[in-house]
Amino acid sequence: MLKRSFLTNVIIYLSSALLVIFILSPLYVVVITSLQLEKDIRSPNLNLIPQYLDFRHYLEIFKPDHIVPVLPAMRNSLIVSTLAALFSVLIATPAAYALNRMHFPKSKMILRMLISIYILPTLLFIIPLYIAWVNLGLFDTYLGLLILYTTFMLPFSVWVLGSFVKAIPIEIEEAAKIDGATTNQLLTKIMIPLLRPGLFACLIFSFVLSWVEFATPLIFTSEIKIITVSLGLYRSTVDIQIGQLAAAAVIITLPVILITLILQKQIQQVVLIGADR
Amino acid sequence: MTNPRLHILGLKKEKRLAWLFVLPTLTLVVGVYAYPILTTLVYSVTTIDIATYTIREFVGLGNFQYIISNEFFSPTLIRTIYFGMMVVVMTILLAIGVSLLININFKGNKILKIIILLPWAVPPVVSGVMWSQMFQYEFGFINKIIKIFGGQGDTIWLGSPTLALHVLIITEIWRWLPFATLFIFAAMQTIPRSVIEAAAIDGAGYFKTVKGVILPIIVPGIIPVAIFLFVSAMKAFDTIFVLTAGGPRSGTTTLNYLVYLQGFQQFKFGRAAATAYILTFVILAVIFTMFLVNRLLSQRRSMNA
Amino acid sequence: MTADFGGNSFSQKDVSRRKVLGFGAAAGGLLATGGLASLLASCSTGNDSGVAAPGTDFTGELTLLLGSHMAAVKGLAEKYNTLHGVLPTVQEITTPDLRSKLTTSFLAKTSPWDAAFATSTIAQEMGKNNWALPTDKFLDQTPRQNATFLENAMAPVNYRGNYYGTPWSVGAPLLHWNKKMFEEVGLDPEAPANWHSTKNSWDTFLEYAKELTGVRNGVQNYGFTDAWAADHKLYTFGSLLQMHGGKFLDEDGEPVFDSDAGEESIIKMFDLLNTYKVVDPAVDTYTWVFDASPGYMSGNRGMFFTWPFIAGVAQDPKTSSVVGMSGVAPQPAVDTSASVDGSEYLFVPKLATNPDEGWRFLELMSSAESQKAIAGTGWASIYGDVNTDPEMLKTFPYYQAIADSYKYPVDGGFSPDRDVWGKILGNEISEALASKKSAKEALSNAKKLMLEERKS
Repeated sequence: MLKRSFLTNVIIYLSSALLVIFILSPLYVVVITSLQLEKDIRSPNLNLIPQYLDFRHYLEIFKPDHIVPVLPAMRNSLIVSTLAALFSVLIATPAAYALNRMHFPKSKMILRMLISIYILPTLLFIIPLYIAWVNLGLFDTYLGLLILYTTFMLPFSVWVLGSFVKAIPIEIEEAAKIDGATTNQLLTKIMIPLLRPGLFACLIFSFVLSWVEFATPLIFTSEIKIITVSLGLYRSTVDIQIGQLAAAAVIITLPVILITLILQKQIQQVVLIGADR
Repeated sequence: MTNPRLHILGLKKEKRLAWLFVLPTLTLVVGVYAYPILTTLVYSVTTIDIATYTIREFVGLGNFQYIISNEFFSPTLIRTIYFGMMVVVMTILLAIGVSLLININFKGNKILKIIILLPWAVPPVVSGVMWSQMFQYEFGFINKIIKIFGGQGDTIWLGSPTLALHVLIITEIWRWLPFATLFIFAAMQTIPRSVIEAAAIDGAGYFKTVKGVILPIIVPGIIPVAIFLFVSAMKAFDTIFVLTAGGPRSGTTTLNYLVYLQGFQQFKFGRAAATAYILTFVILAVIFTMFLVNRLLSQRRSMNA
Repeated sequence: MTADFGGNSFSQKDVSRRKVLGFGAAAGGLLATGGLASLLASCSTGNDSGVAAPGTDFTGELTLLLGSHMAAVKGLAEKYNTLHGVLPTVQEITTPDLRSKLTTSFLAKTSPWDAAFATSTIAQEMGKNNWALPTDKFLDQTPRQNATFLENAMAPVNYRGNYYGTPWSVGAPLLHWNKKMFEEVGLDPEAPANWHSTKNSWDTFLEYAKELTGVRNGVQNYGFTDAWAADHKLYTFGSLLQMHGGKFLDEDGEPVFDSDAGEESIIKMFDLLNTYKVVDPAVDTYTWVFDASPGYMSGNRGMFFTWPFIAGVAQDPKTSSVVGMSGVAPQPAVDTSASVDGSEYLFVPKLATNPDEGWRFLELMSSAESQKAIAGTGWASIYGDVNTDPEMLKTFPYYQAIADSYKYPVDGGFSPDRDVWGKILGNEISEALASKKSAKEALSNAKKLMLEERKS
């Protein structure tokens, strides 16, 4: 086997290094900031390589009487994101199947409508939705948030699941039908297992998209604390607590990064399958 | 490309089942979107009195006229399209480069693949905080690194409208690189590995192979990515909110952010609605153009083939 | 292969037509709920400003909306419980989000709060939109009973003769300076204390800033720092405007900031930033006090125009390297010293469900005892005698500076649309500071845009 030239190797490893620096440096900065004392953070004493590591910010932000309720907010975000992901899959899967595989009128029109909804600037809709939500008693409720999250993600979910549905060769279903499978059997014993990677993908994407939502909970919650919104409170205590803000930012990002790391193989596979048609 | 449909039941029963499957989606989408769409369409042709939340008067196309003839409109429009196109082009170029890189078999390849995914996991609000720390003029890492390499290192990145806009572009590129890379990488998988490996060893012929073989295959797959990136850039809000709040001197105010300013700061709902629909039109126009370009390019390709 | 998003080829016209028509039926049902129906059916009603008198309908529930910096007021909740057996629920909010929160709530015709806080820039807006109950009666009944009540701080909440708030703390930006740095460059560390009463001391201020600017211990020091992003620069611009004898608005509320005084003020700010480079170069990116304070707290900025309470923060060794070195005095003078009132208020929303509990809380907050407690946390009280009490002055010497600063003009041009035109003017001045426009152009453009906004 031919070996790569030295120059080629240099280019490869140099590019990789630059790429890694580009991707990781903001994350590095935030982690470092969370481990430095507040008075050093915005002073000339802040170094690229930290001289010390101080964990007090992490202790501070979890204190029960702190202005920013990190633990309740994390719990709420977790609940809402998980439920939104589940609802998303539950509602989008049959729809994706029906719209892409079953015969019924206007299926194409509905698909196109879903796509065009995605293009609309949802920021604008928040105002009338807010007023409607208040009148319907959905303001500042878990249900109210869930409905919004799930609906905002539906076009995307249907699209993702749709590409998985389309990737399943129709021959399989035809064969099953020839073998005398009932609709129920076809769907539950064949389609769903085959769609498993797609369901999985949709779950992950929906969870992450819900976790990072900011504008929606900003307007639609008051007592319910959502973690992305709570992040803003660090800028308004009697002094900006950048160190605590950084610590909270790390805490917020950690779950999703962990999911990404643990499931990175699946995520990559998912895209390959989904794109391969 | 055809999309085969299945007859699994009698036509009537199938129709009913299909509708049942689609019903929850339709209910939610219609319920949650229809009302605001209609309301905001009404807003866009009226002025609203916010003291009482009632319509003050119908102004027809007055809001649209006001916005378009406003001295801030053209700069904002140009800025928005520039921002969108820069994000699209740079992200795709980078994604192609990264995909080519990770396609090569070398030590550390696997770790690289994992690292690439990370930005996707970071909430935009957090990323806004991270990047503003990086580009902080006095203590930020960017200026510190510049100083290490002997530069002045005292640029106030977020103080100049142009620089701030480019910082924002970098933030968005960083955010969408994982998504774009995954998709382009997937598109590359249809090319036999051996071809790419051989080209890598060859050295000088590598870029020829890329240009002649790899790119033409993945270019069609790029259009959906380009559209998605453009729409995402148009909808960017969280990062702008946290990084620059639209400043400095409106340097990072995109049309979408303008909708927020008009709606939630000035509380001029009529105007905000009109701006939002103008933005929608702009997005559709750009997407349409991308389709046209794609069609032209594929025609040329099939002519050359 | 064409791009395929789950449909087949994609037609622009199809989408918009079908989207609108397809929803007709389903949307009909939704029209009945909330906004749209009332929106289409009703017409604007007039503004009924009856003067509210605090009553005695005590429901046993009380919800407050406080700023997250208002720990002193939050501390009164326990006291209220002890006195009246009702424990208030406190919601906290950050000042930049306040206006959005209040407006979105009142738009939906609801107020979860029985007493809410308002800054000087939005109080009149609350009054004009009929969202706040007038506080005239309350003021007569309670705070004004104390002869040393700082009536000067009430101007920002006066709209068309009625008052729409009652203050919990008063204050306007003051000059803070690093005495140690002054000594290091050979300047008199006590000099700034008398600038406010000395005509044209601004020139001295500029000279001192020049001396203080330079590299010391390997760090670039600047003589001055401030926060000039967006409309925050209007505190300093407004101070300069009045120092030159100008005003933001005339008696009819019409803009008159495009005067020679306005031009001079911008020129002075321009000189600080560009001609003499004595101010932190990122000053136009600092959106509020806490963006600018690190520089001062780390001992690298000689002087700082900002809120009085920063003097207290400068004494905290956890965040400050200038403990014991920071002086406070009213701002320097041209024809006169001046500042811009930044007092903060509480009001009872019109739609409050327990207004009388709200009023009762305001009563508690305005009591001499409570004000003493508030003043004890570093936030100046609303009564002169509390502030200048000798014991108080020992701990907070800057209360004297606050009292002195109110002898000079403190008008910020407060009007119901202050938040909107403030941003317009702030933007235009930024353009001038960045040399994109002359001061004159900036001011006249700001006036033009402001009047256009008012008409629309």
